[in-house]
Amino acid sequence: MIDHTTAEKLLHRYFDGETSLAEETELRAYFRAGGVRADLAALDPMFGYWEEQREIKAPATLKPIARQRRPPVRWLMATAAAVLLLLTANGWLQRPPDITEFQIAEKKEIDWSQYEVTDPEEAYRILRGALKTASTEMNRGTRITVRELGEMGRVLK
Amino acid sequence: MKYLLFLILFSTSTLFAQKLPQDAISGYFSEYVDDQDFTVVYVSGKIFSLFKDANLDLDELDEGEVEAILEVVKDIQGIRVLHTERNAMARWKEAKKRIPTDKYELLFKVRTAEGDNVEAFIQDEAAVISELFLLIGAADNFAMISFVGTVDLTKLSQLQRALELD
Repeated sequence: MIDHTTAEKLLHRYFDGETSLAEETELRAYFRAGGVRADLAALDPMFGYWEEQREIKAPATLKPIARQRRPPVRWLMATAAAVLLLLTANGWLQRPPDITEFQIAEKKEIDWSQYEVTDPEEAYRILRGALKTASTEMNRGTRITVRELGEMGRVLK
Repeated sequence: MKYLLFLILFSTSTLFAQKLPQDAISGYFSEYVDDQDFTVVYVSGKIFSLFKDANLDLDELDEGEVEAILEVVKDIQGIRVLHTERNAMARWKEAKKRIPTDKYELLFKVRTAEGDNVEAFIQDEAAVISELFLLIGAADNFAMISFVGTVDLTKLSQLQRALELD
């Protein structure tokens, strides 16, 4: 058991952060023992703190904390998602008819045979004419596009 | 859940029960066929098999040209043409609105300075064109041409040159 002078020296070293663990144990023992010198008494609570805490004993049995009743979030979310899916599927499957359908007069089967061309040469002429139109216009569209793209290229450079 | 499954099964089965695609004129312009203002022409695909079998007298026709034409419309099932000179522009505007864009894809659109319009649509499934539909609108001419059959667009483009060589 250290004496007052040693305790004082150790205290100085303690506050300088130079004490070893063994020296700190000695200091604690000194303060625990009581009869501390009057001028060192102010430091008693500092070294005595852990001793006091050690005295506190936990109760033998812990009373269980009443758990708050939480709403069953997961179950609710799953149900909501299922309902939403059903409604969406129902709405999608029962799509309202396209607006264009209303503009067309009542569809009836057309008997194309009454308009049929039976002469092969005339048929060929019609085919040739129709394809010539299609081909010419298609190429015209392509030529214009290519020309415009060329113009655009020059502008962007 | 069972209800949903049943709904899905039912709707997919009705999808498969759909009719085969018909031509645009029959589908969306059927009332024009009865309209006296229109000239209506139909050419069945069967007639072209005569050309292929060379059963016709082709002396007056350029053989190269015939071949080029038949190359474009292999397996053609039919050509339908509707044409009028009355109220051409009004009918053109009306007709354009009726083409369903979910079934028909716009192939090209041309508008000249003179105000002549040509729009072409294709109906295709799995990249094979089953119909080429042309809509022509000018001041004094409104026409709809529908080619139903397998249409080769590359050959169609080259056809112009072949037809202008005569």
